[in-house]
Amino acid sequence: MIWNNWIPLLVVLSSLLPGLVIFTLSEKQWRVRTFLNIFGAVAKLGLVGWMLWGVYHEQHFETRLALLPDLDLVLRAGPLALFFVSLSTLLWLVTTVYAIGYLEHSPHRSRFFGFFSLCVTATVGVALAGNLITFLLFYELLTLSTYPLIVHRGTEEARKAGQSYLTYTILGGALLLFGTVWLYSLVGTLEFTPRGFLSQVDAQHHPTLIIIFVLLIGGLGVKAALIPFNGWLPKAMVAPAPVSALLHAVAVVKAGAFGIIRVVYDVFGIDFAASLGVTAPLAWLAAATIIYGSLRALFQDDLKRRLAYSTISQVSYIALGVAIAGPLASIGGVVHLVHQGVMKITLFFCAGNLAETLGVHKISEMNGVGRRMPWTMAAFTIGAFGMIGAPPVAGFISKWYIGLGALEVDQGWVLLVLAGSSLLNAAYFLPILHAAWFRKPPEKWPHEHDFGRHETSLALLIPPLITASLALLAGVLAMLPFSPLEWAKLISVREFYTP
Amino acid sequence: MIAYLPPVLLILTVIWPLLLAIPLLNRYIQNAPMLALLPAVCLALYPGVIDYNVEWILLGSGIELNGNNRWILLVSVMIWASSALIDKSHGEGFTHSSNSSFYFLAMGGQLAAILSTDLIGFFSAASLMGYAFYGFLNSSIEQQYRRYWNLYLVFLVVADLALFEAMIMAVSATEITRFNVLRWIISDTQNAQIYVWMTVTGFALKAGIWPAHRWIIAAYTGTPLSVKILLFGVPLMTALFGLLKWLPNWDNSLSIPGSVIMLWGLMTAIYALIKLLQNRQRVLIPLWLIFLVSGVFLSVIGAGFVVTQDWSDYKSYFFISLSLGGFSITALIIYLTIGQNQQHLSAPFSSAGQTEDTTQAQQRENKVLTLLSANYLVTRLQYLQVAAFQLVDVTRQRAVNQLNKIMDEPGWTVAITFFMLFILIIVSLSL
Repeated sequence: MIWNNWIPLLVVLSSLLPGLVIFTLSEKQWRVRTFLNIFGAVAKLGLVGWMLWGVYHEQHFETRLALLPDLDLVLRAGPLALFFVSLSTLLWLVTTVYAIGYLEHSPHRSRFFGFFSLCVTATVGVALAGNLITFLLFYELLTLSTYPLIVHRGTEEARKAGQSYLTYTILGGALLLFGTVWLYSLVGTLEFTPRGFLSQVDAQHHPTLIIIFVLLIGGLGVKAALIPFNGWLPKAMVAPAPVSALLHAVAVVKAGAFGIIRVVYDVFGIDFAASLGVTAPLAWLAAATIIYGSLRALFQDDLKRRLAYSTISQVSYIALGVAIAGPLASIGGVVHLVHQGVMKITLFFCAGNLAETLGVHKISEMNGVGRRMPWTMAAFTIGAFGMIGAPPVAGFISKWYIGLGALEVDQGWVLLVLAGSSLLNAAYFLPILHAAWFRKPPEKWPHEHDFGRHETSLALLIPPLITASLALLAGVLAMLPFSPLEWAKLISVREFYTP
Repeated sequence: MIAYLPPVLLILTVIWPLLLAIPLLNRYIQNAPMLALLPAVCLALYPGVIDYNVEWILLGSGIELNGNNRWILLVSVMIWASSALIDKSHGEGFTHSSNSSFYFLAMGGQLAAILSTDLIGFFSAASLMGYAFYGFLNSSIEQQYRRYWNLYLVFLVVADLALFEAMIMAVSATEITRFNVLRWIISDTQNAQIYVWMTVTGFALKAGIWPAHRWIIAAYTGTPLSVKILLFGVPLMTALFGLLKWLPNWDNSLSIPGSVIMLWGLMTAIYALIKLLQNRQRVLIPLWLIFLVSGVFLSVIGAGFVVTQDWSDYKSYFFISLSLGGFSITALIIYLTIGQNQQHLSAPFSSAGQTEDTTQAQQRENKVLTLLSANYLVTRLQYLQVAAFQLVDVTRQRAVNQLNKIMDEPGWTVAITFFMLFILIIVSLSL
């Protein structure tokens, strides 16, 4: 169908155009701004729903525009692309509602929401990119559109965090660009292909391909927060809570992890990458990052910093699942892209609620907070248990498949990493829950705001409840058609491994 | 239409308590704990086997009622109901407190675990039950015992990790987690031994088997009667039930893990026996008895790995034994504790002590007895109690006098514990 050629582009435009209009609005035009935000998000969701149905029934959605001689800008909706697009679209809608409530009395809202829309546009572009050059373009746009969000508060700390973010990500972008250009000069194509397009390259170029792999993974590893490239992430926690949620669950970190999946499966092909011997070091690096992030999280008193280190650890599950090089592990890694997203965004929304409603920023201030804000903490509890990997929350499903996949390819050591990480996750999340639910609340909270009969503003309360429910449903209804797990299985069959 | 009723009952048994965990519901519904149990009661009395498999729940889970779990379900329902009645009569009010959600989540989790047909279903339900029970009891336990109770949380996490690894070992790349095929998918694999170790360790931690038992003592001593009952009826009984469900009938003998587990169970039993003989508080008798029974239980399971044929022949009897054990212990706790306030509980037992009931305690007792509709039975039991305790007291006193000569010196209990651990390690290594 001719329509199918334009829908990927429409998905990108559905947030780009509202974003550009929002830049021109004054602060007082909040009704128009809110309408544009919500309209864009809902329209995008509808288009993505259409594509999901079509791709499930093996329809083809592709927009191809000439960019350079022999290089097109390609937006293609395959199963893997749609998986990430669905996540970012759904969570963008929820985050937009949250951000509207969160920034209700803040200055520069038009600027904020303009960049917010650009950021999601870039993320969707990264997801739909049909070749490495399109990927690279949107990847860099993502860097540039998130920087103003990180420095939004305008404080000295925010500016420093922004500088750190830019330094890391531009360096990463440079590595990615270098690797991409080198690869193009070597093979003459950058088109993402199921099971990769490099297996036919002459053996004499294999050492060069290993270097290119390192460059690409290095570039992507900055955003995916692999060690030693994750210094920017905890610093970026100075940004407002919706931005933190966006960075950790929807956009930046996920774009890096998604890029790793693309490079391993659609550029090199998992079998070819394994034969080059590059997947095993990637798995070790991911395992080390998992443990490192958890250990660092253990010693943070600032709630958002603890969550940031937790992200460093959790996102590496995706890289680990991908690098183990087995069908089951790849399902576990890919499904964690969505599972980690819904769980982590819940935790950041809750952290934002505590900060906005009670002025609570530190874990040591959280005693008895569950009695004051039971719904928020109920959502936080679900998210935390998901991160630990306790069933029936979504995190369990990811760990289950990564564990099974590791045994499938005789990589038993991964089970120890999973166990160690779960133990550390429990060690840094359970004390928070214990303090919140079972300790006596203080007589006075640091900066308490009264929201009437509700524990906080409904715009702040409903988003975490929705995402917590999603985290729970993604685990309980894991085998339902169109569930993240079933979609990850579809991806594995259609794109990663020969059935 | 009638055909749909049994599966609906099965689903309601699990879902209904979980729904009642929503504060808005349980706060405003009168007798919510009893109502939560209603589908379970009907289900337990349903004649016949029911199963319902839901392929899209978790990783393809199911629930069923059969000859083995019916008794456990029945005893579980009785324990929850007794606890709720006692709570109501004593005015402790936990079922309508801010922690009532934990109460209903623990109830739903346990009922789901009892009915589950697969490893993941059981694991999920038992985890929910465990964490919710921790939360629930945390609000009821006295401050000085809370530190030890927190150990339960630590053990729970470690146990869940061990069981998670065991599950992965068991199903490996097959993705089949049903109990009824467990025997075929694991018996011949090299993972079988690791699976057994992980499973036994996980459930032993959850059941508080020696030497991971300190939290049970704290929780038992520091909580009111209504919660004491649940302590045995919920985490402990479910863990022992889980142990039976998770260990299939083995085709091949696993003599090394079997012998060590047998020895571990014996150590636990000996430890409990010593403590029982040393015991000077009447109310603590069920505690040591349960340790003794758990130890014997573990020994028999260990023996089952060595002599596989006997294990296959007699395994089904264990489900009934566990039900009877759970019921008896609960009855014993109620019997020993009823009508006595907390100070009285910790007093040494003597014939004089038994006549010192306060008016207030007597009133509470009468209220409970009326609620339990067992006035006559309990009055008879009170006569028997005095006679039985006088007999026990004389026998116990003789044994204790002998033991005290050795045991009263400080550090002996610790020394014996370490000695037993030492033997256990030596035997394990030698095997």
